[in-house]
Amino acid sequence: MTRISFENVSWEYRTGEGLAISNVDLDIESGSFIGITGPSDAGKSTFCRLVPGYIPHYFDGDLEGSVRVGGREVSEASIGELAERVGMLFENPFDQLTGASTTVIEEVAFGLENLGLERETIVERSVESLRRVGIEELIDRNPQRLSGGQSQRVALASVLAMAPDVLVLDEPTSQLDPHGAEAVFEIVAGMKDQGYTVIVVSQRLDRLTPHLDRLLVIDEGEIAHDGTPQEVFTTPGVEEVVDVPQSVRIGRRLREEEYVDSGGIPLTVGAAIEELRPQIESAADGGSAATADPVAEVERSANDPRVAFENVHHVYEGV
Amino acid sequence: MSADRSTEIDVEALIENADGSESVFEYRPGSTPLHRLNPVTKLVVSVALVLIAFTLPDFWGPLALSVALLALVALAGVAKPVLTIVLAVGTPLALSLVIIQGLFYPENQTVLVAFGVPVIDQLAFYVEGVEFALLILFRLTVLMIALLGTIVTTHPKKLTIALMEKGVSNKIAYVFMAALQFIPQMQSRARAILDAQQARGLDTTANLRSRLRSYVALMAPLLIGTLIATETRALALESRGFTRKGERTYLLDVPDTRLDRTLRWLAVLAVVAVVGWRLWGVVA
Repeated sequence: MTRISFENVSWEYRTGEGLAISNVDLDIESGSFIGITGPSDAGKSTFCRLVPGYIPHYFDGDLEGSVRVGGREVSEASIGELAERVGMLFENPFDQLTGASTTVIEEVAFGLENLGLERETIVERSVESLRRVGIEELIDRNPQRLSGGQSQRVALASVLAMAPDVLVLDEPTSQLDPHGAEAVFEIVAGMKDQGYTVIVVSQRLDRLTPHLDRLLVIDEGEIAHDGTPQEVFTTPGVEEVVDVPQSVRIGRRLREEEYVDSGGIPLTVGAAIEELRPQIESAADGGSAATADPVAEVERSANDPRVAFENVHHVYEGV
Repeated sequence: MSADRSTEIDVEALIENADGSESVFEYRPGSTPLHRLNPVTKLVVSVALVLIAFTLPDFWGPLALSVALLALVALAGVAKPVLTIVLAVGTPLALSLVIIQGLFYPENQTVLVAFGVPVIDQLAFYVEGVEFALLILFRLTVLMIALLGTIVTTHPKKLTIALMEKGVSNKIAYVFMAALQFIPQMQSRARAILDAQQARGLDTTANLRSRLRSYVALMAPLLIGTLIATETRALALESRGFTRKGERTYLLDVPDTRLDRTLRWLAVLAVVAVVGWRLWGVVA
């Protein structure tokens, strides 16, 4: 089992600009699902880089304190050794592919070839990883020609093939379209049930909040809030540093306006609807609500074209 | 259950027949004897043939080698991609070589054809010059056909595996593979930057000066973006045991048969024989 602990950890990059992370004291239980959020440049990525040992082995700077993964001191193990425990998924879906494979299976098998496993095992584990992220059918595709969402899932399959039990995902969906982001989040949400310890950094937590055991807010290199999503989102002032999900905002307003007085804040849209249902029903009983006139809306936009297409044809050269 | 399904997959066929990059230097799948040779054998024989072509004294030898190689790539079913490049590069080369050497080769003596031209009286093509032009041309033809034939009949993955099995470091093999994909990646990155800049009013079609300016505007983000991408890639490679020491296994089997070893020895012997023969001629 892999427990992660930070003891009084501070880090400053050699390029300066002060401490990127300061005095972080933290224990992450094996098998838990941790969300990390906070403003840009707050130290979230630096935090992530500490777990697989990229700090201090790849980045230059001063590390104080101790980071331990599964009892192993990170500063004393190599990135390659840690990779068998900790897998990391980066933000950019294309840059983290090896750039040296002609098919998806080669890409996923790359790490296993380096480990010197039997060929049968390599194929088995590669195919299993692809299946786990739901892209088995891409096995013979060229990795350079995938969409962002597909590419990110190939990268995730390549990480899973190394059989880590901790997954660190640094803004895994920020460069994906909504459809691709949804696909990745769905897989990530299922990872906890498969026994992984998951640490996911995201500015948009709506989709993941219901699955989180714990939510950390990092601000200016320090852990500003630490608790269950319910606790963190109901802390006064938290919305200044965190993008609070819509359902939570609605829940908070309902409580402030005293429409609802009990129970936990709704973390999902479904839970928010349940809370709103009695209000809507009572409003419907009370009479008609004011609505915008949809016809007037349409007429205005039709008479006032900002962008108009009329019978447009275009064929790219050489197609 | 899952294990059963995985082992049914024929990885080799899957990788071999996957859709490629659509470039002219791309691997063309096939199962001819030329395709099945060990990639290192093909490289060694190609280099040997190029050395021989550059050692032979007149154009007949390289011509014969070119014809033989052409027959070989035709048998392997890759004549079309090879000829496309050979003709595209060779035709302008042949014309310029024949014209310049035919007219101005220093040892020109015997007139082949002469044209009456006003002002300079006559223009003569000489036998020596044309023969020298053909010698250079066919030497280069041997080089092009041999190397292109190797490239289009060898899957890049198999080439890197074969090289690593012969002791080439995995870093060099990686650089070779990555280089193949680097250019299309840079192109698409550059295209994205150009599109973004044009959308913000950069004129890329105007005169030379503003084009140069737009070139600078393109190169800065392109290089910075590439450097950032390299950092992520280095970490991703590191996390997949790229720098790990010790045994590696490979997804594909690249056989090295007795035929391969024989061909490689023959290639070396042939080079030694031709060089020896030429040296003997000089001494005698």
